[in-house]
Amino acid sequence: MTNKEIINLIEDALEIDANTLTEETKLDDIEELDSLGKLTLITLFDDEFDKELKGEHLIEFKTIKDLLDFLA
Amino acid sequence: MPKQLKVFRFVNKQTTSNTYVIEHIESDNVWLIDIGVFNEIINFLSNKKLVQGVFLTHTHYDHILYIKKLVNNFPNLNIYTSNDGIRYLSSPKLNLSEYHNCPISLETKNTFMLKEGSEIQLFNNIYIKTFETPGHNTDCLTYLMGNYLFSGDSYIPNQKVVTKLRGGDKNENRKSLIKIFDIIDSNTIICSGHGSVYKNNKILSDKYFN
Repeated sequence: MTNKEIINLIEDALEIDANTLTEETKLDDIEELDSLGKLTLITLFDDEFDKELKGEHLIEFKTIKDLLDFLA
Repeated sequence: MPKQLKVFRFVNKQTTSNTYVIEHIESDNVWLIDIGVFNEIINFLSNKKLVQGVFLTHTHYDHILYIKKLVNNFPNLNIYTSNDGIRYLSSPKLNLSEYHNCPISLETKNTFMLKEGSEIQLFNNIYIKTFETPGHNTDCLTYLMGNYLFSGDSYIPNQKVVTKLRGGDKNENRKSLIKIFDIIDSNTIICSGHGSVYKNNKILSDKYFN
């Protein structure tokens, strides 16, 4: 799966318009990434990538690229 | 609804989820809608009152948080949920409790599946009717008892329904809202999964509603 496809999955899960996010987008700037949004992301990573994303990661990670690196 | 019937709301301050207690002053039984609060409910019930059953609006962790404690305290109580709800109750991943460090898994012979139109008698001449209202999650049910509507997270007045969690679906939610709005009239007391109780667009007393 390409980075672009992963970003599209994240946009879809967070109910954000397609092609809104880029690798440089800061997580703090994503309004939809509230507590429910974070839970959505955690379950998305579990379901789609079998990766255990934790709340601590979401505090540590700054940008979408950090999420992509976590999956790499 | 007869005046002997009372509905009480209890709020989990951390998760903000509502748990409702339905009691009839001439009965020793009470019924619950969801179970996100425990100690306050036990303290509230006099020793004579027995929890006969719990109707789950859906099985997200904040609405089933104390289901095991409830079953331990009232081993004969019935649990009512949807077909998907039965599955999610047994899976901490599917009921999201795993992601909140409070894994909940429950399988009991006293769990019963409800479908669209299912009716259960609560008290003499008092029945609760089931409506399937997926959208927030696939297992969502809404219940109607007289003019009381227990809509869970399928409809919370003045709030957008959350559909982005696993099992959420915007299109299903739209259909469910149409179904719920068809049920509601000016006498309907809307008891949702979070937030205040409403009747005719006005917030009702926080203590009990009848």
